[in-house]
Amino acid sequence: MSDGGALARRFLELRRPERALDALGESLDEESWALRAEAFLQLGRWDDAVESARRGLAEDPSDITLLDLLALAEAKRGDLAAAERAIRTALELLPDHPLLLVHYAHFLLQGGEVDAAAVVAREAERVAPDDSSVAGLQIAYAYVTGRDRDLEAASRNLLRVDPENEFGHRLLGVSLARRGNVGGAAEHLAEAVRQDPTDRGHAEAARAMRIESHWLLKPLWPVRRLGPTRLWVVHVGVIVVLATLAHAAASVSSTAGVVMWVILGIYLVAYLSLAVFSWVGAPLVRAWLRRRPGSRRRAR
Amino acid sequence: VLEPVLQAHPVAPAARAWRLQPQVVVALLGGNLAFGPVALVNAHRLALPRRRYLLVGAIVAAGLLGAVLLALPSQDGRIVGFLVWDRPCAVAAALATRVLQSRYDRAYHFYRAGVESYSRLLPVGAVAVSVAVAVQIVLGVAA
Repeated sequence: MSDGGALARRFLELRRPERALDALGESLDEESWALRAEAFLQLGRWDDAVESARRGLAEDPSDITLLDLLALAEAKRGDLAAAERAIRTALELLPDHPLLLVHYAHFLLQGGEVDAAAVVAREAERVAPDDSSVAGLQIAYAYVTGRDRDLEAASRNLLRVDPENEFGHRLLGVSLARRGNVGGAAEHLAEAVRQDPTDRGHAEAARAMRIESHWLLKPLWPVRRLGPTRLWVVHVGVIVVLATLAHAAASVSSTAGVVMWVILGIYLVAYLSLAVFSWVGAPLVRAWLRRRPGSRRRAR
Repeated sequence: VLEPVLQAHPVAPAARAWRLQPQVVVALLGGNLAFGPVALVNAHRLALPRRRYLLVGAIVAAGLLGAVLLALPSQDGRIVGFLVWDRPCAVAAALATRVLQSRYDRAYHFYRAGVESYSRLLPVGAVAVSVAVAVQIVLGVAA
């Protein structure tokens, strides 16, 4: 590895892609194309990453790293068919490479092909059961298939394998938030920010969760815990049960009937208050908390 | 590992998708005329496979057709009947397309969007609802 290449790799490890590109300069060897593609991927310049990977592959079409980088860049720019072609070419050369299998499974999940992704994920688990990238794949699978309980378990599994994994903390934060545990979610999202303060997504998620964990938004707990659809079903169920009981009680004694109707009325008022708060009050509170001086800075 | 499965997938456009849930509100406020174009554009932005995209299109068409068919026996006239049935049919279509696209929406959110990276539906939704309501008012006056 050339001095420029070694320096560029170090900068890429530190997530300083601009410095990595500077270090590479005008170097045109095969390894520099891979490093350049990786730097462009970190910068979010997908087209340049594809171009760099292709330039490198023109010199050596069987370079696994370049094929993998090409596939990642193609997937990032939304061309999953091209990503699949590149990753399958790499897998033909190294069929049991866990990272290639994990990346292929991610492309399949990105395309919504969950059954095919499960097949590839099983293969990756067989090859490397304790690899953190495989644990990360389980998170993606749980997220895309909408299995929140699996998402939490997969996030905890990833943190078991790699306790400082920022995405593990972030996804565990997201899954805890979905279960209504905004305090726990805020802690894990803050940890994700500590692990990688440069990631805007972590910072925004942590900031949003800090806002959601504010005491003024505590009345939203039932909505968070059950979700809007389940809460609505519960609401309709409670009304039907209370109304039925009120009718039954009224046939026994008028006082009991009145008491039951009053209970139903109180429930309706409470529910309507929650609905109005979630539609009007909560957005106003969130807007106020977002505009408070220093709220963005504190999230980091 | 298995046969290629992504070769028929379209290239995802650069434009960001809209969230699925607010599209139900567009259907509720504007009916099929507002919801249909929004749903089809969003399905394109989510880069749905061709077959699934056609299914979304079929459900959108079914929502409109359902409102027309339910309006036929209306005693107040077919246009009034259509205006009555338009929104319920649009909401049903919106819920059905939501189920159909939810996996792709979650994949979009996980891999392409992230936090606060959906496009805001409010401006487009407001225009779609306004146009749809204007058309419905004209139809109502004509009836």
